[in-house]
Amino acid sequence: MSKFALRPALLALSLSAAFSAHAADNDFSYRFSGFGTLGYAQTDSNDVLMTNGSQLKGADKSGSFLLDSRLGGQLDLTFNPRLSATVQAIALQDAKGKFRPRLEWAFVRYNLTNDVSVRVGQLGWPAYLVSDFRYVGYANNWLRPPLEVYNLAALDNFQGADVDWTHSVGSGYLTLKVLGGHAENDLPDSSNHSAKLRVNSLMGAYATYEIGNLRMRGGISTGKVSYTTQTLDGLYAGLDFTGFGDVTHKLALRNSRTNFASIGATYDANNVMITGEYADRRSSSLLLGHSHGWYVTGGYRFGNVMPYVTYAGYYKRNDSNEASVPMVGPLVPLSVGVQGLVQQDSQHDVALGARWDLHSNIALKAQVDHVMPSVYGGTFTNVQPGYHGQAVNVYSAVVDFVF
Amino acid sequence: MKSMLKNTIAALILMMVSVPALAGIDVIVSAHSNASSMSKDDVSALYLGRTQNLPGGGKAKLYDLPDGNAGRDAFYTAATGKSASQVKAVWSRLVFSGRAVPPTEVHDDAAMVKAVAADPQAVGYVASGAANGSVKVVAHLP
Repeated sequence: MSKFALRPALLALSLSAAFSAHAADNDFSYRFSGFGTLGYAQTDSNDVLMTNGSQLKGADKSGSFLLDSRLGGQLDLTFNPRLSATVQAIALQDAKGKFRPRLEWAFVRYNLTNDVSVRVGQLGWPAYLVSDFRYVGYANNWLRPPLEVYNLAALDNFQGADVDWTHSVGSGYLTLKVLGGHAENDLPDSSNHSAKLRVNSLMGAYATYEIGNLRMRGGISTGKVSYTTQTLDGLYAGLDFTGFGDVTHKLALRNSRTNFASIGATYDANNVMITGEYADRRSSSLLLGHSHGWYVTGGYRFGNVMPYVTYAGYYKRNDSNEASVPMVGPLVPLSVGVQGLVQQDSQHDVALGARWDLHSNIALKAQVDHVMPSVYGGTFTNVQPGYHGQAVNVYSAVVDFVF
Repeated sequence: MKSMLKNTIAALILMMVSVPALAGIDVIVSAHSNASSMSKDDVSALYLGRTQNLPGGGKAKLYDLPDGNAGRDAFYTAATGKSASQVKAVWSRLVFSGRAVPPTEVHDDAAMVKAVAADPQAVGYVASGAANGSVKVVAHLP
């Protein structure tokens, strides 16, 4: 957690403390809630590493508890019907492979009217259908959100503000959200010095419509993305030195305009659950290039047990004709390096799983994923030389709880 | 002996069939509340956190019976068609997205009536017949 990220959080907290002095005592209330997951995952391959999000360590034939296990806590302070504050922290495996807590959210919310609210501080970035509760296993039907979509944007929160407008439309409820701010996130890096992702001038607009058992949402965010890592900086230096500065220019994420659009829906009735989502990421940098991912999940409840099946896909466009270095003499390492970054990549995944509501606040889940990545490994990391895109089976089991 | 057993079973089945039909659940607000009536959809929207606006104006303050209470399970089934664990998952989504805090729990119908009567913004529910003059019944769920 950098000082940079902490400052808005502290501001939010001190703001809320200042406001609270004016709140009538009988209006004040607070509530602590917690959630957690104990999870184990194992695969049948040592050619690639299975991670969940921005993690360094993962599972291969030797399983891992570090993919899905986490513990979170949230404090909600209600000062009066208009003013409240929320702080959430989650301990999970981070980009450096350490299991430790991080500040997820710290914001103050002010209800301007019954329909309009404003939040200021460190906020969740609502890029996805389950962004707000991605790490709350109990709140989700799957064991983990499909990585084909949820790995596209390596960002969970931002510092800034958002405005929500909720209104009843027809017999449902429409919520429109606009947001603005900036963000920073550590990403894993093979050099063991974690890489840094920075998003400036982040802006977004999202619409959610809930009617009966159906919830639909979609929207777009745009920002200027920078990404620094020792590994890539070395490659860029080599390209610049050998006169391929234009390739560096096309590849590097340096304040590069990047758009992220997503649309999804969930229908969750008495026994039937269907959910699907599509996300599309486009960047002026070829390092991110143009990727999209999607999934469809269907489940059916038999009492407290719900088996489900997911089919998911991920595709990254081939940009090797846009940026390449001749495969000759001393240029070969640079050529291979660039090729690896701009090649087409893809993945498909068929997952079978079940959720069992064991108790009113405990759920058990088990899931088997049959993942079919390209030779570049899809959503897997640490792709070993000689890997030819063989399918990988991932076996996972978790206990989710809320308290 | 055999016929007594049969009669007992018949009586039990009758009870199971007739009791819920007779009882039902009343959704209540304070006698001083601006809300006068609510549809099943209004009640469902409030208790699934889709809106916090009380019909009649202002922000609703919801009350709930404790986790695992039969009256609570019956209320959610009647109002929302969802099971206790589905409702728990819905609220965990709302709570952990910072959108809403869950209803305040009270231990029984008498405490529910007392809590709701005291706050014009309150909404609660009790078994039919448990309400008194301090509250208004705004919806009846079979």
